[in-house]
Amino acid sequence: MCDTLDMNKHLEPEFITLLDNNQNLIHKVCRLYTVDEASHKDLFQEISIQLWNAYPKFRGDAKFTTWAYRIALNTAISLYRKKKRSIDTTSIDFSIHKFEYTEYNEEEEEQLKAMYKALQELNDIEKALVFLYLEDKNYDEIAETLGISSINARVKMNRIKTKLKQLLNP
Amino acid sequence: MQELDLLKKHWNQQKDFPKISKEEIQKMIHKKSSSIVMWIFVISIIEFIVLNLLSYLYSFKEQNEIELKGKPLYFLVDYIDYISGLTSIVFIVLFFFNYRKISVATSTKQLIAQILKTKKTVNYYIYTNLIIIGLVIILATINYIPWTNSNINFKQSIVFLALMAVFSALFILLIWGYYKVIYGLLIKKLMKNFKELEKIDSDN
Repeated sequence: MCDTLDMNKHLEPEFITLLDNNQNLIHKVCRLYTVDEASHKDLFQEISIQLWNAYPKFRGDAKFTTWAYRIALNTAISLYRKKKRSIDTTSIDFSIHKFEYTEYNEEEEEQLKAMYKALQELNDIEKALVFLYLEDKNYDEIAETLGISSINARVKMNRIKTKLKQLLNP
Repeated sequence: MQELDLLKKHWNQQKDFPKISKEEIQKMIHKKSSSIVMWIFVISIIEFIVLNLLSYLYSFKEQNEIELKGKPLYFLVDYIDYISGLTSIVFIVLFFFNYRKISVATSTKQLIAQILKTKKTVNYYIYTNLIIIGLVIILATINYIPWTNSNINFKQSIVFLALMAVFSALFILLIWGYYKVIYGLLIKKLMKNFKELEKIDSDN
């Protein structure tokens, strides 16, 4: 017990630095799976706890980011429980309003807003596929992360693209 | 898909996130998890404790020993304490064994499957106990009817049997309601996501 505590104490600064350097990765997952700031922070905290609990077993043979992607997505999909809030925040749609579109023209901005709105219509698993796709992961990695076959990951992604098109042009 | 390419570009440029300081991260990682797994763990432990307490209620062999002797399935009542004690130990060991195997670093499908397997261990424990309780109730009912008495009061027996049936139905309804609530709160999301992952592999 004492040894574990000592080891954790030793690992803590190193872990906090790694998490701090990669916090955008977690924020992106939170942005996809939550719609208001309070839930975003809740999920960020839960992911951080899960990462920290799993960190002593992280061997370093995988990249920290690859390992963190998996835990962050797993937390959002399987572990995170939305807390009941007194105000219905789903109608606020934080994600769209908080984004910056300074580099984009009006038409592109509209398209992006419609895309982010369409993303919120996807289910948890579809969101995970899109997330990994946007993060430039190949189908083997996507399949491995989710626990499905590589071919089926590709087929599903094509179906999601069709679904997104339909959501954009109802 | 042109919109998706545009989204990819914008997605990777995102920097407008709330900055969380190292001090805040340090505080965060020492907070208690409020994950579904944690809730399942706590609820399962409560279920184990409640059922173990309940098993004391149906271990009534002492007061009924004389009347039950020679009746069918008497051995069940005779050994009820050992049977329920043994099932508790077996299921608690299985539960902890499955719980320890839950790893957030595995694939999503494997993780959900393991969480559901852990919860199922507790369910089987509850079903086993319900069967034992059911058998004990049946035994008590059989015992109540004075088989050897030639003046069997049929009216009284029927009323008693009807009351037992109503009581059992209410009991089952209560358990069913409890599960609806617990599953609604905890497992629904997991089941939905697990089915979605299975569908991806079976559809193609």
